[in-house]
Amino acid sequence: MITNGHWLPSQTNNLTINYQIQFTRKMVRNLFDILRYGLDVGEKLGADYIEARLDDLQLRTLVKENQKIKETNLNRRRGIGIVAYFKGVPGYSYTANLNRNAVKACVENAFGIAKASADIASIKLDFNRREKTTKVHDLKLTVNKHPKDFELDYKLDILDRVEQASLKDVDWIKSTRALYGEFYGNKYFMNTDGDEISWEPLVVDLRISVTATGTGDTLVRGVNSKGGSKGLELFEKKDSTPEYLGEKAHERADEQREAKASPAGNFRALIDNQLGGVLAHESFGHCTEADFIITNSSALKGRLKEQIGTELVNIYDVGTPSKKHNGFWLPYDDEGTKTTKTQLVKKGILTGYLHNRASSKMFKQKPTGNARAINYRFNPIPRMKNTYFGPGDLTEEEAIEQLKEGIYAIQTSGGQVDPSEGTFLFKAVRGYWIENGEIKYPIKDVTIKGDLLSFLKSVENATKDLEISSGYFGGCGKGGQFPLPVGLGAPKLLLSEATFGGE
Amino acid sequence: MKFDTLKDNLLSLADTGLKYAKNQGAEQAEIFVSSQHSSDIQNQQGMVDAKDGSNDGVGVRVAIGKKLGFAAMSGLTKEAVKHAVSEALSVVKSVKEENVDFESFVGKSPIAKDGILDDKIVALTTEEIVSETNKLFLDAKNFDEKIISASGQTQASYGGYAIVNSEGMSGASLYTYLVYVTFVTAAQEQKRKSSFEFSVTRTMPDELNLGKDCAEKAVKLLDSKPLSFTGPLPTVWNQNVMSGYWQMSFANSINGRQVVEKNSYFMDKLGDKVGIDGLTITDDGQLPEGLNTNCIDYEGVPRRTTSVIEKGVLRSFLYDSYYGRLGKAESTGNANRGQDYESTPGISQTTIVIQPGNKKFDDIIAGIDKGIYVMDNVMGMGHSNLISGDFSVVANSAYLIEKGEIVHPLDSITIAGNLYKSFKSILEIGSDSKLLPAVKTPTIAFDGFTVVG
Repeated sequence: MITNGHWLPSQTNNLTINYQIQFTRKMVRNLFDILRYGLDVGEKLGADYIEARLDDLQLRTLVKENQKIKETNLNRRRGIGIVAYFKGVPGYSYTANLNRNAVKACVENAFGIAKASADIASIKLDFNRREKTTKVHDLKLTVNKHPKDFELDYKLDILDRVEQASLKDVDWIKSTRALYGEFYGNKYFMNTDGDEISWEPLVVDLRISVTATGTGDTLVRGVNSKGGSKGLELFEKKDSTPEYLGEKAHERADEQREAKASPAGNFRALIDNQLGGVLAHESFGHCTEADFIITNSSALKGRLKEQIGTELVNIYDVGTPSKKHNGFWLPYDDEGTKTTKTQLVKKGILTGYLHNRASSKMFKQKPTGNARAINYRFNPIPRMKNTYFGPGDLTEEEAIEQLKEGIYAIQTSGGQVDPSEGTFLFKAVRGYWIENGEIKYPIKDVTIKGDLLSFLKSVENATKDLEISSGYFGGCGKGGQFPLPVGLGAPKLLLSEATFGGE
Repeated sequence: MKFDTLKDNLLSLADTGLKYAKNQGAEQAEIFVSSQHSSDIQNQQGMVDAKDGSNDGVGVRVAIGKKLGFAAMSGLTKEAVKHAVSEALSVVKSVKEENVDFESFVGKSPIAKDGILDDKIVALTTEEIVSETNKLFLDAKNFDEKIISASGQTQASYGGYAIVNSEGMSGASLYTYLVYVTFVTAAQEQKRKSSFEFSVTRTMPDELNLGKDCAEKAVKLLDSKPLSFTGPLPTVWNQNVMSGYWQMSFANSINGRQVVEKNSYFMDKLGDKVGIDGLTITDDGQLPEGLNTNCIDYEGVPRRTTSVIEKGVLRSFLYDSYYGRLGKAESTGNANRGQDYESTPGISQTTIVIQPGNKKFDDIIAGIDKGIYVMDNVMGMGHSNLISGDFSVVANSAYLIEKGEIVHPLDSITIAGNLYKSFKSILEIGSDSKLLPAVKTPTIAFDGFTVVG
């Protein structure tokens, strides 16, 4: 059962703590009762099915730039969201007010807008009632150092250390930016099928960016980050300490200072774990989201069981990734469906899509638990969980050797995709020119562009070092819901050909 | 909260927060409260998404000496406001480091004008919004059998925000707006082309044909042919693509923070000639129909009209109070909050207004022997190098111009150039100004960009 203890935000100040306790006790005692009340109101109105969610999420953002604190922000997002179905159409409404009157008005709104929309919907989003319902309370990850148990100064110290490590005594650094983010809280879910679920999401994230002056007047960057559903002990691991992350960012910026511009044209290529992960998510993953399939908005519509990539391509979407990775932990989606490990591509063959309850019925596929909402103000829509390319068996050295001649593109600062056409464009942060199977020199301004199917058909080999990461900064954007925490990952992927843009 | 009493309710709640903050030991405090009601309906290829609700919340900044803290909380109850105050204070009390450049929150000053409000938007019923959305969808879907996917979306929104602070500032701003968006994909054999159209207005718009216009554009693009050319060409950009172009051009270069931190290309060019004689640009926070027009900005400074470029000469940067002080200028009323009550103020444009020229669109095209007409969205504009201004975009919706006429659509082409230097290579400024969410611009023709296709 819920205890009041969970709800106490960490406090350093005796003056305010009394107020907090009174507040939380008064508002929070019977959360499932409030949700149940909402369900009852909706059933009386005549809704076919209703679900009620309550999110209470805490987000902390710390930003330090050029050794000065820029932001120490704390956001609490607490509210209730109601989905009411009428004749296969979901209506959504939400409120940050947790009293009965507000919840009643919210259910009436959700039902009213569903009813008004029912006539114009030619696609009905029906689904079968659950054969077996779930009752799970207070599901959470076991971590050693949960951020809620640590004071602000502990986190400011981490931020300070990562920035200091990135600086060193050099004259070529123009600016530094260090970011710390944490996200945790409680999510409650209930529906008229009888599911009753509560669980605690958690993400911590540390990032550092060093901007330096390169040759001529150009500016170059070195970046590093580490994040995932972990406690603060993440930053005590050898390759994740603030000192290690900062020093690496420094080295990368230094190397980029002398980098040559990336050549433009078609080359053999090696893409690193991070860029590969972003391509798994952006260029491929979105095209498997069932709503894009249903509305003819995906380049992968009608291609199930088709060979869309080489035999080396295996792509998965998983809810609860292994602890050895830094993925995002998502045991249940926002329709109360238990998340699965979904294989989307098996040896190059498209084997599945990512579903909510309605689309899994429509496609006669097993539920995958991909209905997600970023917070109480949004309805759940098909989104990814942790999407990644499966590993191969090469080492990095072997991959570079097999590349022979071409571009090794590393990390990414973002990009753009069009899921309906399957086209994409991504910027790598840095890279190397490879000749005779050896690294020749660093390159900058690396842009990779192409289309999904050519990309998957160009995968020639992969390394064995699968990396999955997630974080607080950035994330996935869709339907106005940004940034949703997702995990993404890949080994290093060897491509027979990729198109690079340059100047 | 009801719209007609929203201002008073927001101000009264903010006052409660300020009293509480002072009572709890804040030396300075700023309470920002905001409420935005939206009804959103989307019909995407027959699948309907319907949402209705109010995004309410409070963001509190407190200062003790030069130490600052910020906390936000969803909801507009006294409890939510007090919670945010308490959390902000707990932050400030555990921060060791001072923000040495901080002086104070903004003081009392006269208030400017709000933009136009339209009660008809507030009064729209769910049924009316549903019916408008469906018309938009059907107009697009039924235009041609090559349309494989169409979407119509409507958002009717109204709301406001209030700011009250310990330095005597107290004010509130209201808005109404209506958004229509349509997105269409057309297909022929293996080829797919997408197109979108939208309208965002503070008042109910006149008769629109967005669905049909959007579908027509997508279907026409199916006849695209390769350009088979690499080199410099004149390019004509319509208002939709120019909107993104101007936003990227000014996001960094005239942002007072970037000027102070020496990341702006224009930082040492005040008074210099940066564009052609015909280029006159303002940042207009007082344009009555502008989407970002308010009586006060997001920290309480009155919005105003700022001359940015006058006859090609750079006149001013955009500031909030913090960076205005550091830049030895005054705030130009450009404080915004990216995520509303969940953000602290930062600097951004209100509405960038390009003074129109006197050439009609057809006359601009008529004057070009060989060139490119770019419309709709271009990929990669958001990844331009804002320090140097270099950009390289992929245009999926472009046409070839030959001998003064638009000849045929083109397969994807790449266009590369420099945002800042391009101000001097403008060939024509059209007379066809269009208001978009953050820009009011006519069609613009540039010389000298590199086109690859």
